Amino acid sequence: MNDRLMNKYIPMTETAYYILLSLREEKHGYGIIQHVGLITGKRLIIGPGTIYGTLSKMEKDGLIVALREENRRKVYKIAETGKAILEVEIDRLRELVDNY
Amino acid sequence: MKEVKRVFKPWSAWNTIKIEKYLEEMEMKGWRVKDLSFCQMLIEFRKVPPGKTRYCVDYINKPDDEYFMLFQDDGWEMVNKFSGWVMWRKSYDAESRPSLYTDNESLVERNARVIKILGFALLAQVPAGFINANNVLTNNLLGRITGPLKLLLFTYILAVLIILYAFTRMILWNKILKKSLY
Repeated sequence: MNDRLMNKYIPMTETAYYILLSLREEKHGYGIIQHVGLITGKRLIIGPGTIYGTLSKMEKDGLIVALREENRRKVYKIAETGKAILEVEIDRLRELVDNY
Repeated sequence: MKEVKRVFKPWSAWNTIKIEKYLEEMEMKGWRVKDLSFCQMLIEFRKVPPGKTRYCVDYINKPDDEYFMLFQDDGWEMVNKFSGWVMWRKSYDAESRPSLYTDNESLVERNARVIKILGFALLAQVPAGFINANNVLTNNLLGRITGPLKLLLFTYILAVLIILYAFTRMILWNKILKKSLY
């Protein structure tokens, strides 16, 4: 795993974590906002500015990929690098919880 | 009762929170933004029933379709666009005051975009400033700077100082935000 990406994304913000989680299934930006709101019981409603900035950053770093464009909206999905980095974060979170 | 009101409200990149709060408070009093002009500092309001609307200002150098569709999907209405700055608004009810930026990391990145542009603007002044200062001093032209030229020079230096101030305030804001991250 790329050291630079590790330092940049680990530990992960809630936003980044939930975006990657959401994108295990392909979605467009607003779909992510809705999905994360749903699975967190409305606790985490991500703002569009945050989504746009984070998606751009993740796409540039190869964590996610834009599959195609539908109705002028990009459809994203998690890439192999994104899956790998998500695993690293899950391991980190597991250690925290297991030590409780 | 007057239906339209015009207010001059200067604001800057480092205190967007101030203008956002002001516009929100105005709408709570029943004044809704109709239009902005003069670098988004001259605001025209229209009388409406009081309401809860969140106003947010964003900085984005090259907004694409993706940007606009995303914000609109989330229920935001574009109020005005000027030179990389976009003003958005969204009505809300008591419990859910919305925001464009919901984590500090992305806000830091947004501010970094502004800092970059300001930095370039400042950097661009350096070579010209150097050459001109050198010219004036070596050719002893200091005494020959006449009235209108003095005014121009003064305005120029003032503009550069304002940019420098904005640049510094933005960096300080980001420093504070970064402290709240891991």
